[in-house]
Amino acid sequence: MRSAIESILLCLLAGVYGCACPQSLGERVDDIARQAALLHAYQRPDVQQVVFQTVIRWGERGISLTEIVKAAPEGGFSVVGLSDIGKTLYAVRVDRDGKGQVVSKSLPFSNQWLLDGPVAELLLPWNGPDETCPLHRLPNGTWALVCQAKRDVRMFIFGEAGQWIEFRRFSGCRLLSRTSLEWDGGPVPKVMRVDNPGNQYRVVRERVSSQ
Amino acid sequence: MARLYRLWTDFAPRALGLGVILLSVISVMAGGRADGAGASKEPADSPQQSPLLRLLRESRAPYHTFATRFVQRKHMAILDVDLESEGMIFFRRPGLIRYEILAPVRSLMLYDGRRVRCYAFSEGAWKPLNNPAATAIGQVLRQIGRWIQGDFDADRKMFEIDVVPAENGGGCIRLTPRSEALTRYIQRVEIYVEKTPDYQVTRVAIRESDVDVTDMLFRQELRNQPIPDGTFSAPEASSACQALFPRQNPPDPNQAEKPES
Repeated sequence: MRSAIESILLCLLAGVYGCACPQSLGERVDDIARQAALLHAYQRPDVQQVVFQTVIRWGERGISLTEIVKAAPEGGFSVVGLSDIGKTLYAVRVDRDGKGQVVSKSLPFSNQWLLDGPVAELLLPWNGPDETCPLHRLPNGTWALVCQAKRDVRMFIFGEAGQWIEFRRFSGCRLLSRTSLEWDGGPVPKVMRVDNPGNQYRVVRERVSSQ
Repeated sequence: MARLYRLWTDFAPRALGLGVILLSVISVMAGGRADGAGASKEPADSPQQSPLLRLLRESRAPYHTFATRFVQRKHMAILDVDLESEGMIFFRRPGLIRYEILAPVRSLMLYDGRRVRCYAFSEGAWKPLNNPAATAIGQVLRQIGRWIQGDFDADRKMFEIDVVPAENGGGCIRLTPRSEALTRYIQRVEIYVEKTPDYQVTRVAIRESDVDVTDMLFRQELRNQPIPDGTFSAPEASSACQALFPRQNPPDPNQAEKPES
């Protein structure tokens, strides 16, 4: 009992990152060449506008919508979600520093929920890893770049071919969301499948067009 | 999870705002074209006295089924672009409806007179969706059924209806939500009617705000044509439904120019 309490206190003292869930984050490896190769494999999309067909499911319920991401000339994005019949479900501006502002919303969720959840997941291809993210080797032998962002941990997992195939976001030991990415050579993934156990919903986003 | 469910359940009544857009679809079936610029400057008729509403209803009376294709253009100020989608609507009296978006994103709503079934074409197949707003959408689709038949009387509780006659015999039916809550979602719906020679609706403008406008243009209306099996019950009937419309379209007056928003 005493040992367990000591472990918890140690974790709290050391910080959750890198302590609470070492098995989830894998082992940190100092391999500058490999890290550089993975960073090089990630290309931030250079597109003006992308349209996704999106299906969100929670429990047995679900809705479909169209999501549009448009790059702003000054940096940042405009993001819009439309219902099947054209009703604006949400409209959001994200500035070049990543700060989001909800312009309009006809959904019964808070602005923060919308920005931190569906909108952040939609913009994932534009928010990939950078050189501050150390290299980790996961137990299954794959490689990941693991970034600390405020209190969250962002893990970018790369497949054997060196392509970014998965993203995981943790809060301490807790998995907030997991996104798998399916590529077809386009600038943004062909399909993004999100499992958000934190908010208990799943999303499938299929790229319809990009220009 | 429970919170999410509760929020969406609460949200369902708000879907009436979304349903208002569907309401406009009604007009789809009315077909035809009315030039907004051609609307006269006369004072709007009261709906009870408007010959246009009566003529529209009478012109629809002989037909048992309607099918039409539509193009929807949505101008969104935040994106500074017009978003365009295409779809088709099928209606059979007394109230069966198939509302399908074909591009760029495929989705479908089927109404059998009692309930709505929603589908999304995702990952290569039609997937049923248990849409939390289905009840509200069903109510709206029921209204749509009435409107398709040219019956606007039943909806006066929700909308203030006025009619602006046009010189060409058509005109514009304007629907303004009576409820302030609904006005937050939809400011006004304008249904443009033309006499060609029957009375038809060819354009619906849905004004969500002063700057965000959705325009629906209807074309290729088919009346009393045989409707493919499964149109009102099976997503898989999509191909047969599309095949009903001629591939080589004659020049469509609705496509001649972009409508003013």
